[in-house]
Amino acid sequence: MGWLHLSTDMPPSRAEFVGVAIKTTIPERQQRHVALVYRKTGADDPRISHLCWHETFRDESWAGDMAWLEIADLANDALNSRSLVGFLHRLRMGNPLVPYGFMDQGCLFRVDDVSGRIEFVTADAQLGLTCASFITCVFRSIGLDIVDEPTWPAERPGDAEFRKFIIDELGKSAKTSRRAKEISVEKFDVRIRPEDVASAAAQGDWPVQFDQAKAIASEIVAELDEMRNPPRSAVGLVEL
Amino acid sequence: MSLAEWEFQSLEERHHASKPKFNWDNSVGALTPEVDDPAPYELYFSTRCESTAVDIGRGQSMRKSLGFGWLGRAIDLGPDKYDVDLLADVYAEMDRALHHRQFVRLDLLLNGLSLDRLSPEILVTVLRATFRAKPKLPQWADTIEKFRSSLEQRGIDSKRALRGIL
Repeated sequence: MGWLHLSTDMPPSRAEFVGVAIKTTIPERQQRHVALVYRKTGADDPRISHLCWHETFRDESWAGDMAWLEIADLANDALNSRSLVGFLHRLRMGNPLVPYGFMDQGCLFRVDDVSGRIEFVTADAQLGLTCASFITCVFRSIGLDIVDEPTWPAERPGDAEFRKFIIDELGKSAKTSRRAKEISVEKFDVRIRPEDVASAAAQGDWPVQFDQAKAIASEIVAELDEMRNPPRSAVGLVEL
Repeated sequence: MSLAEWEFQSLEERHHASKPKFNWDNSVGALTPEVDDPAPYELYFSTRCESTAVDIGRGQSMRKSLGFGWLGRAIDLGPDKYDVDLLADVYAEMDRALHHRQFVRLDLLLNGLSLDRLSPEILVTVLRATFRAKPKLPQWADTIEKFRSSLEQRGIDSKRALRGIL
């Protein structure tokens, strides 16, 4: 393996550890999910912080079902790693309702003065995050842009199908059907894919431009595919 | 006198010393609504750990901090220690101050902190929690220089520690 650690490898037990975890969720659609993995202290179990679905932010114990990599830019930067963990802990305590969406410009996290909870604030009902833009939004909130979004193509093959699939899925549940009507296939910001975030995390020179991210993202996808379908020799070794 | 009380007194002295820079009656006052009706100074810079449990629904409650309670805790913790709960509170309380457009209050606080009494983690977090408001903070450039200098004195590469917000 090159970039990713296997899901069975435990993330390092350093207080300042922060990484990105990724897995393939729907292989036939090449759909993947990405999350932040961190430790509050060296003694605590690792946790993942992620946007699972519409209004479904989760901060939960590491389940060991995702491959992961350490964020290269923070690997030797304990100060900012700790500060980021402080921000993630604040998200965990606030448990914000984060809408799902394809447009994220202007979205921010803010503390509500009455409840003391952290809220996710959008100026427009169409704004919201994906699992990947949740991560870029977290970093942007503390002044760290991990990707140089203007260098991303406006649309890549598969993006429109992705948006249609998501809207169809939202429409299937009574709980999320309203959201399916609020967001549109036609209105979107550039799509930062889960593997793009993982690629940016693997690199130490932020913000990462699209051309830099693309090659490593392809390798990460190949590694994920290999984990799902290990070569025959590797299968034999596992069985032994 | 506790460290927190010492810091409070020290801040208050600096506030009075810097008063001419901030004319509460004219130009700066016009920048923010809060200055039109200034609250007692101790409300702006309370370093006491004021907090109360607030029911946030879904069977959960969380502590709602009032004022800048994090500062007293950070000073009591000392310049070599941090804890993640405190860093989370720094984000929350600074965010609340920004939400209420308390820019003058923040500007005074940031520029008047005794940086050598706070840990580098606190310094970095304070700036990352407030950088979005830098156009509204008249002393931001001076504040940044003080923070950079404090980090450098401890052998920390301030350019790297504060990347993205300089």
